[in-house]
Amino acid sequence: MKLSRYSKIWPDGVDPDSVILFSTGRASIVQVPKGRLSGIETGNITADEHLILRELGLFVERAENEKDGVGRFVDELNAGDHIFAAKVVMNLDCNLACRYCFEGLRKGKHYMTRRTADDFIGFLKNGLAPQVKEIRITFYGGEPLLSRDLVAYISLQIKTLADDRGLGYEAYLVTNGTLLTPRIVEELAGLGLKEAVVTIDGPRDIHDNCRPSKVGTGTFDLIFKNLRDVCGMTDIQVGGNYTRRNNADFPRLLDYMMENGLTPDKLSLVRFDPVTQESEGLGPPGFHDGCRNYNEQWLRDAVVYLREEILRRGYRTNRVVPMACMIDIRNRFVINYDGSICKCPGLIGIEEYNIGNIVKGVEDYGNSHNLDNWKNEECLDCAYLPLCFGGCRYMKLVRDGSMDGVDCRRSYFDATLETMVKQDIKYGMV
Amino acid sequence: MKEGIVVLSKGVEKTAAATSTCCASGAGSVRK
Repeated sequence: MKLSRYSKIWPDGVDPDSVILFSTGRASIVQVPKGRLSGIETGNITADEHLILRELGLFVERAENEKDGVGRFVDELNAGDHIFAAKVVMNLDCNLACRYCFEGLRKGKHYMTRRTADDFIGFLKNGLAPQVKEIRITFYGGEPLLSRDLVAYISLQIKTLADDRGLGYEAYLVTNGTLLTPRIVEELAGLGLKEAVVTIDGPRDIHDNCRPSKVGTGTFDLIFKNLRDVCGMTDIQVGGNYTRRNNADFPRLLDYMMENGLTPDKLSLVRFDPVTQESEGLGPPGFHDGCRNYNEQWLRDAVVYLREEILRRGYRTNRVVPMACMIDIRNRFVINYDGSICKCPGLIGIEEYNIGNIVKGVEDYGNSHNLDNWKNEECLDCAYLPLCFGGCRYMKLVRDGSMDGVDCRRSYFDATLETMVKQDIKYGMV
Repeated sequence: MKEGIVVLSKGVEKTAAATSTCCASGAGSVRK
């Protein structure tokens, strides 16, 4: 028996006589007296300790087999996956003119038709393997609520299908929030809406600069009012997209939410993420403030700073857990408005990365998407592999013009993971 | 001083990795 290579040991930070052990493969955490650490590292422990650490993924029977086990991790996820999930791009139109929108020049008056919606429902029916127990649909855009009637139509069809077959159904909306009125939410809540994910980019002055309407007016007050009106009707997640220049101001949004009715009990999650720099010719012209690499120094600082600001006010945020890319999970799709299929929202409308369409089905994408890019000695040796699995292929594509290789996040995790796990402990996110 | 191991978190099942993809609940790495 040996300590898993996919684990980290850090000083406790609160108790100077203890250390913290964290499993990157399971997100389990234990506190160990310093005097017991050498026994754990050499396998010289009691039978009870042995049992506890093995159950938590911190101990392995044979170290030499562990890499093989992690190498099979994604295959096992796919084999045991009981979810069919699709992001459905209802249109590529929008009533906002966000300065950084990754869909940039891909946007236009492009709307999914009723016929394409019916073809999608047919694709879904054909894709429901016996192991599928749950259907999750995320209505995406553009702005999905510009296609409100079709969102309701698809929801009804799928809810009926799920009910007939005894499956679960959950619907999600990724929306800018300007059209998220109680009337719409009431209608969609009856059709399976579980959560609306709404973006607010920091306090009013920053948000209105980053996410103005098409005629240049501010949108903060309208979105905020809508959120206050609907937050008891469905789960609400607030997301915010920051840059190197404006992230330090985001806590002002949290204060505003606290003081104006969007308190932690009203929101399912708050998460802030960096804006990704888009490729020239695809993203909005003139925007150059996006993040190109998770290893950028400013981003490490911003991630732990904003996470602390969110948590210390009592909001929930995403905790540190093993994470696979949707490209790696077989039953995850992005359905474009025209019925073409891709594997990541970043790849919408890039013909080279379409993997089929809802009429003809899905083609093999193993080579085109470099599926096993992380199955190399360097990644398999890395303690962070289960949190990363090769990083973001899309970011790699934008940065380097190709998905070849991996988007290594080792130095990012070196700089942030200890703090993030200790935040999870401190704020009870475990 | 504490004597033994204290479990602070049992963590998540392996299958959670399939539902915690970067794009699972939000716009993911790409922002719009």
